[in-house]
Amino acid sequence: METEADLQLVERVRTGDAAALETLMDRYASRIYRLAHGITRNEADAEEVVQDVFLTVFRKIHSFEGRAALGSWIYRVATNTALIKRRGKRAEIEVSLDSQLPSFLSDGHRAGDPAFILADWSRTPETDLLSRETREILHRAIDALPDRYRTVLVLRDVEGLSNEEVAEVVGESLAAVKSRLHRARMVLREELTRRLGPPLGRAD
Amino acid sequence: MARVTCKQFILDFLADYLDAQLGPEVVADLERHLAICPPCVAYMNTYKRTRELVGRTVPTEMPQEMKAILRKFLLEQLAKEKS
Repeated sequence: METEADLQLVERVRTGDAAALETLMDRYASRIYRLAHGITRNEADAEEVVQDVFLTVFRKIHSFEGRAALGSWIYRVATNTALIKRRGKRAEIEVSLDSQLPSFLSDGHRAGDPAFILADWSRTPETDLLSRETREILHRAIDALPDRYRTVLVLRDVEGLSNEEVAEVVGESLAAVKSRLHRARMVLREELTRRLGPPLGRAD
Repeated sequence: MARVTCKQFILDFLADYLDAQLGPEVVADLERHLAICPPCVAYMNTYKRTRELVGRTVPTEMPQEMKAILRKFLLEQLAKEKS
């Protein structure tokens, strides 16, 4: 992201330059919306986040010292704003994810039904994987993740930030971010495998 | 040359392996394990696919009408703050 050019753009917007606003919106609005929607999981909140972030950028641009890239700063503002919105909506009880993660035997092998352990749905045709049903399953599983898990997942696997960039945006250690990210993906994988993998041994 | 368990592969190494963040000796150990472990191959394939699906199904594009609303809102706010 072109920090120098973007900073000039912001200054021009502050003077009321509508064309500069248009350019800034082109560069950031969709991305911020996508990130905000990923975290808050609803349109209205995502819309408010985009508005809040733009206003914050205009008002606080003078306190931006250029230590990090402007894009990183914007992502951080967007992430924090989205999390605050989300927290206001639901009482967040930090659910232990342990029961949704793979478990292991004492010899280091994965525990569970053999058909489940061997289930490999990765070659399932695209049309099936992107079916409405599968998307619903995935969306619900993502909704159910604790906010901080969903946040790193969205920043990395949707927005495409590197692990290091994600750590900078959320203000935590690289190790903490990587661990949380991996756990989020493992939880989703387990859920998808339960739904898409071969039927388990018993008749329902 | 070290033996790797499924638990180690999945919990400790998988993410870094897929991100190509590991040195060649560790990679060799992991691939030696994968060569004899269909469950870990299945896990890796489905883990990779899960990431891809997240990347494809989660992104929600900003509705066009919202952009127009945003533009109008921001211009109004800027005008207010100038005066």
